[in-house]
Formats: sequence, structure tokens, C-alpha cells
Amino acid sequence: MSSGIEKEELLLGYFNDRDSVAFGYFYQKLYKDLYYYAAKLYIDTEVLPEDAIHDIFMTLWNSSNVKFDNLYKLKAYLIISIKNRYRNYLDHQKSKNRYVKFCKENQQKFETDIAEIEVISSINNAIGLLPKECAKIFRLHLDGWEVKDIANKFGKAQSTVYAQKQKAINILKQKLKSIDIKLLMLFFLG
Amino acid sequence: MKFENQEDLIFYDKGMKLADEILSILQSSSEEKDLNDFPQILDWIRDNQYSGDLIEKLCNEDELECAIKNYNNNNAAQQVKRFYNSIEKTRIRKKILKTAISISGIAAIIILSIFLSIKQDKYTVIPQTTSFAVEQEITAPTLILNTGEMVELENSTYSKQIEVISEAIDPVQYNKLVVPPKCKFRLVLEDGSVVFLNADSELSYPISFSGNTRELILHRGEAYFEVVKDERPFHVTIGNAKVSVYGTKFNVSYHGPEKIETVLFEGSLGVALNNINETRIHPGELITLNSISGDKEIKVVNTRKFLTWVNGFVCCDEDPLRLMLEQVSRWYNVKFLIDENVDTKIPINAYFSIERPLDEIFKSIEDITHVKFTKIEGGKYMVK
Repeated sequence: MSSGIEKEELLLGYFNDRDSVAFGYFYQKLYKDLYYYAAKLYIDTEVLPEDAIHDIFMTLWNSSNVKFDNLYKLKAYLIISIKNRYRNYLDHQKSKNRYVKFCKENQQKFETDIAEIEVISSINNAIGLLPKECAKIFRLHLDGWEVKDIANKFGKAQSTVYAQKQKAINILKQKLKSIDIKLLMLFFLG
Repeated sequence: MKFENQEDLIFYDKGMKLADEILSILQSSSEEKDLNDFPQILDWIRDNQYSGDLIEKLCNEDELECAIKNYNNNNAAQQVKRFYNSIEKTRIRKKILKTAISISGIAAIIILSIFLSIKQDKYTVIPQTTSFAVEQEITAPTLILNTGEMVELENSTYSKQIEVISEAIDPVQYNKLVVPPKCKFRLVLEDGSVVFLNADSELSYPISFSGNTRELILHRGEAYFEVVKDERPFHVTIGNAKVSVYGTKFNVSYHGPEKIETVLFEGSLGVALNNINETRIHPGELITLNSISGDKEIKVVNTRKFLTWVNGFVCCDEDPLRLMLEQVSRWYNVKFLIDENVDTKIPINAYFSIERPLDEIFKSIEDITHVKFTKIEGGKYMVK
């Protein structure tokens, strides 16, 4: 029986052979992380994060000699490509200031950004572990839906939706509560 | 893989280790933690001027909610589709180039090997004992609408795929998509799920999924499904058998009522006959169902070969000759009349692009086995 990891290795093999289905698989799988990072970098520019990601995947598709032995390296490569692409973008912009600033803050900021992506994505996955109904309602809440509209969509009373939403927040809070204290503690101790 | 700038990778690794430590603090239940267990975090807080920003973000409920919102605020499925469209444009050019390169190693293009030698004492020509490939009148992928109207889609060959995006007009109405030999087709369903239909296949799908389930019917042929996760189960009916999934990737091949093969790539999947006795299989497993006798056989397979057709390759991994001819028949729109003395169970290993000329494939088979191909008339070949 093949485990999840073996399967991914197999798919990575196809990916290295430039198989479109495997590319689509990893595109989808890594998209949220890449988007979060690209959106962070390209904020306040006219460049759309999705375009940056698209370009990077197209370049990779066409560089068939670039191969990866594991998912970790693939993701690292993509993230670093986004960063370098952004640096080149700043370089071509007339505003020298931003480029100089970016290069100066570069590695420290990069390290923190990577940690941020990983932590946020893990917390987001925790939402997936909520009871199903709760998670659905909470996702819509995050998407900016009003309680009234969520109630309409599911054909439920507003009070029920409100209760579900509250339940989700409470569960998450419980999971995250320890974060506040512990991290703040660390912060002050540090 | 080499990175242009090794320093980037060092800091990437540091960031990942940092995230691990932060997460392990989050997940630990005890309040008392020895900070010396987290050297990375300590260094980070001391030396990195951005550490405060991130800690603040994680500790402030509103900021954290906003970050999670941003994390989800994108449409991956749409972007993957855009990517597919872009590579489709470059693919044709590339294929020509690839073919040119591979010509130097032409002998290697078709690798056929035989594991059992065939013993054929005498040849007695007995005409037409078996034949397969269904009569085809349709020559281009055709959409048969629920109204009975037939729409011929742009004639697509293997190197070109068209996408039909069904729009919700009248729910629970079914369209039928017929893909003739020599073609394959990529269909995007209303819920975003993708179906690749192999040559010589037929599928009915609802214009829009309105009920509590998503129901499709594979009338014949082979299809690869990438099902979008949804609370409504996704059912594919093949004769009196039914495959049920929620969100996963799988391939179904209908060789006839006595042989329905389903391979699962990820997730979980159940196969039931007449809606009873559902058998579940795991990723990497192939289930072969005989819907007449009710026999089911599960085995672990190399899933790779079940995906090759999507990219226009035929792959035989010690498969019987008969199966290989069945595939060739689909892709090249030819029929085989097989002499009854031919052992169609000879295991064949082969991997070739469906762009290779038919003659070349025949020659390779002839070189290794004692089988001979003789052209009879338009598209029919005698195998003996």
C-alpha cells in the first residue's frame, strides 16, 4: 500500500518529467502558501500576486532540467523564486529606495516571512479540524459573509448560525489561547 | 536541484525550523516550557528586528483573523486552469521538438520485450474469430444535449484538448459527451471537477449538480476524474456498478460488464454493485470488478501507467497483448481480427507516444513476438 508520502514522491517524479497533471497537483497544493507570500511582497504595487506565481510556474515548466528530489525543495525553490522575482521587479522600478531597503532587510525579513507562512497555514489547517458545520460557517464568516446571509444560504435560523460561529471561535480560541500567553511570555523573556 | 543563491536556502531553512518551534509551543499543553528547548526562537527574538511584528500578529486576535482571511483569499482552481491553458499553447511546439530529438534513438522508442515465448506450431488461417472496437460514425468529439441535439465540437486530436464549461441552465438535465477514437477530451464540470475522457468513450453528465449527490454515467471507454471536494458524494455509474467518492483522483476503465477497472490515486473510494456491498479501496490500489459474476479483485499497482494516456502515451507493463491491441485500436481507430491461434495473453512491455506511426508499432511487435499484422482493408488488420 502506498502511503501519502510515497504517492507524493511518485507525483514529483511526474512533475520532474513535466507532466501537466502533476504540475496542476502541486500548483494547487502550494498555491495558498505562495499566494500569501506573493501578496505580502507585492502589496502596494500594480503587480497581481497570481500573475507572479503563474510566471514562476511557466518558467519552471519550460526549464525541464530543473528537478526536485522532494516537496520541501520544490516549495523552497518556488518561494525563493518569488522573492528573487520581486527583487528584480524593484530593480527595474525607478524607485531606488525600495530596492535598497529590500536588499538591506532581505534575509532577516525573509526568515520571518517563511515562519509566518508556515504558522498561518498550520492554524488555517486547524480550522479544517473543527466540526464540519462549524468550519463551513466559520469559513464564510472569514470570507466576510454576514450572519443573515449565511443563515439564508443554509436555510437556518440566524441564532443557530450565530451559535455555530461562536462555537467555532471558542474552539479555535481554546486552541490558540495558549499561544497568546506563551508567545508573549517568550517575547518578554527574550 | 541547485539554488542560484545558497544563502537564500539557508534562511529558508531557518524560517522553517523557526515555524516548527513556534508550532510546537502552540501545540504543547503545558504552560511550563524550557525556553532552552527552542534555541531558534530565542536567537530570532534577540537578533531579528521583525520578530516582534510576527509575534504581535499571532497574538492579536483581529490581526490573526485577518491573516487567515488573506491566506484563503485566492482561487487556486481558477489559476490551475489558467496554467493548463497556457501550457496547452506551448505543448504542440514542444512535442515536435521532442520527436525530433527522440528520432536519434529510434530503436528505443518502442521497447517491447517478451517474457513468455509463444509456441505456435502451425498457422491455420481461421478468419475472424474475435474483433473489437465498436462501430463508429462520430469522428469528432460530440456533445449530445439533453434535447437530443448533437453538437460537433472542434475536431481535436490528442495534441489538442478542448474544454467545455457547462453552465447551469436547467438542472438535472444530462448532456452526453462522445469522444471518438484518436481523440481525447478534457471536460470541466459545473462544480469545478475535471474529467479526462479517453479515446472511444462516452459519458453522461448533468449540466448542473443540483441534488444531494453528483451523478455521472460512463457508458463505455475510460475516464480519469479529478473530483473537487464537496459534501455531496460524487457517483460514477458503470453498468450496474457504482463508484462513490467525495473528493479525489481516480481512473475508471470500462472494458465490458465483466471487467471494470478502477484505480485510485488519492483519497478514498468505494465500488458497489447494484447499490450493495460497497468495497473500499486505498490509494495505489486497482479494483477489477466483474459486474456479471460479482467478483472483485483488489491489487496494489504502479498507478503511474494508468495516467499515461492523459498525456498521450500508451504504457503496457507486462500487460497481455490483447490489452495493448485494445488501446492501439482506440487511439488509431483500427480494428483487429485475431486469429484464434494467437496467444493474446503474451505479456508485453511497451511505452510509446500515440504519435508514432502505426507501422512502426506493428514492426516492433512483430520483431519480438511471432505475431504478424496484415492489412485487410480500410482500417482492419489481421493478426496471426
